[in-house]
Amino acid sequence: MSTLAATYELGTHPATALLLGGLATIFLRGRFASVVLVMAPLFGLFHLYGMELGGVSSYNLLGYEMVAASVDQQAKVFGYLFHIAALVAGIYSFHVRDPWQVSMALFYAASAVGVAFAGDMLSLFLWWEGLAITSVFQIWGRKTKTAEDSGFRYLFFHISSGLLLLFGILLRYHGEGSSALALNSLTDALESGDLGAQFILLAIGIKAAFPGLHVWLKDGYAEATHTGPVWLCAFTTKCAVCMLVRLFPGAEILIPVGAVMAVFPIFYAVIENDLRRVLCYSKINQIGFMVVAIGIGSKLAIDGAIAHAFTHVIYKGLLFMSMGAVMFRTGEVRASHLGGLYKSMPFTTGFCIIGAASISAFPLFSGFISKSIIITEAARHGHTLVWICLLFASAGVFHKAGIKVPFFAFFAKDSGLRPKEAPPHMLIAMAVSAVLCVFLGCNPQWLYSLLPNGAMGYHPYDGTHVITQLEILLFSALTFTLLNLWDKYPKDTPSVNLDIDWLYRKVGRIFINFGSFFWNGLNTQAHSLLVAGLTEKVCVFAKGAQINCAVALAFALRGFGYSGSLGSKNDQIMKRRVRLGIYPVGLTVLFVLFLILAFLFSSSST
Amino acid sequence: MSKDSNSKKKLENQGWLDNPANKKRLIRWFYYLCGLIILADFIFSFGWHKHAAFDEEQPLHSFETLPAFYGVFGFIVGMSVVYLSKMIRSLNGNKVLMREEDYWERK
Repeated sequence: MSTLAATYELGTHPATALLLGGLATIFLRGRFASVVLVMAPLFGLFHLYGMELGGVSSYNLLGYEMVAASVDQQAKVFGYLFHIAALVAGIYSFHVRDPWQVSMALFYAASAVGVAFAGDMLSLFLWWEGLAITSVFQIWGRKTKTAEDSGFRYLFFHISSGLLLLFGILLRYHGEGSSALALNSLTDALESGDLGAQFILLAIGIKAAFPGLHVWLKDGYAEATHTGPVWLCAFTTKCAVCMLVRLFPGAEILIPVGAVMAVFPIFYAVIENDLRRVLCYSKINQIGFMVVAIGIGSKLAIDGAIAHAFTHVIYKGLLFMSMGAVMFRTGEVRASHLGGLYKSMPFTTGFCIIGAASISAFPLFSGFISKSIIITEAARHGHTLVWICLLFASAGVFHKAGIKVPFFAFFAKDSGLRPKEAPPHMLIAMAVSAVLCVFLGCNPQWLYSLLPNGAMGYHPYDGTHVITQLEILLFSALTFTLLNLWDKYPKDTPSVNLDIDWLYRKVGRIFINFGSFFWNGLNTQAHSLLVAGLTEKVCVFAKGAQINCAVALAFALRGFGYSGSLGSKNDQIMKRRVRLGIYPVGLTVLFVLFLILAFLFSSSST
Repeated sequence: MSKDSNSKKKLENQGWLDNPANKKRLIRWFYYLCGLIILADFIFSFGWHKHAAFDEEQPLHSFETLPAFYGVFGFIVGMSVVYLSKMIRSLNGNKVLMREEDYWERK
């Protein structure tokens, strides 16, 4: 996107370290696998750091020349991000001993890096499918029936996304030829009504959790293992954001879509009882900000989207880690069953609050430096309504993810639970993320210098901005305080809330029931008609013919005076023998002899 | 002796926030903070030049630059979010979107 310093063949793909780590952890067990889990992202980060901009590596697959990787500034930012996320999640998952979860986590991170560096549509598709398949093991790792079902629903969405992507690519390839495989902006094609581009947008939209396509997120993440969402939240949706930036910058349609994404999850999050689900909803809300920024499409807005993706992965990971630690120690993440944990888990509480402050975009925390770019750009380009939505969303997100999650988990009522503090490796992982949150919040230039356009010299810390942001947050918090004091805040009752998933889980069940009624009914009918009915009749007919032949033969023999043992009782025995297919050998030999003689006579007479 | 250890145990189980006086103190400081930020906004609006997010010709320009606009906005958002969500949960005693926890497991 930005510079083309030198064109040279990359020796290796940027995801090499993670892929090798994934391979190694298939065979390693116990602590060795965990060490690889932490070391692989570190090596990858080092490898990535040395990569020069503009490098491409191509790969020949089935006669197609694929651009497996091309290095530009945007890919590098996302590459750094994915490696940092994998490192933190790796430290956090140090105790996990399930080889499937460990190795698939590394392959998952590698797929995400692959998507960020994909050089053309075909390699994008391959990595895209890789994301879907490798990620589901973080859900299945929980090994419960609900997790298994949820994993299949998750997989259904993501495999559909991959197929839609392939369909879009093929449509465009059919229309335009091989130039359609280049990974260029499709915004013009989309706005001129190109069907292929629409399918590609839909495919990315599923992964980006567009409204209506978002249920896999809150469904899957809430059923995952306690370490699962830490991996899941970093890669899938950020890959989608990365691809939206590449393929659809400035697509007008994204602005309203993003605004809806930013607003609607807030209501759900307030009434949701499962705290990880609250985080899922706030995740959709944060991606909404990025989608709006990509829709605005100015250089600064695009930088804002990338910066927000960067900070978001870190603070959302931190929040999921703190909830994972609570779940690890208490086996519970429902607000109605938690409370008062700050007494025995003070460090986790502190890290959770840092994450909450970051997601709420408090000045000096990482969310502030990226979210403010997007809100400012929305105002500067005159999107008044969208600006109000975003402001609403940023006040709302503080209300739910910022206060609700730490408040109900660690404060609120005393649940009587006194779990131990999280284990050291979890605390280290949370500390790394927390330090990054505060560090980026205080030193925005570090992040801005990484961005493709260098954030166009944007300064988040001007007086107006800090004061207005603090004002909106504090007054939003004031309502939370007052409503709680007046006892008007929605009670944390054990419940689930219906979402779009009602459509496919209930209507889908009706569909399946209808299908099972119709097709299975058809099957039963066909079975009773053909297998049980007709075949039976044919059998009876064929056997009956045999019996009747034998009886006729016996009758004929009796006629010839060969009465021997042919009484009426023996008749019965013979009939039964014929029906069962057992003949005395002598009788069989007699038949064979008879047939041979008949054959000889007939052949000699001609 | 036993009484002493009992009270100690109780103290261990008591967090800092279990003391209502501390809670009250915390909330009071929070109110002061809200007041302070509004004060800062007023001083900033009248004493210095406040940057407007919108250009002059945008309809929101004159609203957005009003002192305490953001505070009022945040307050309204906080209230409306909670009341609207309660409505989504159940309206006039009828469940809208909320269901029992085993809703999906039931056939």
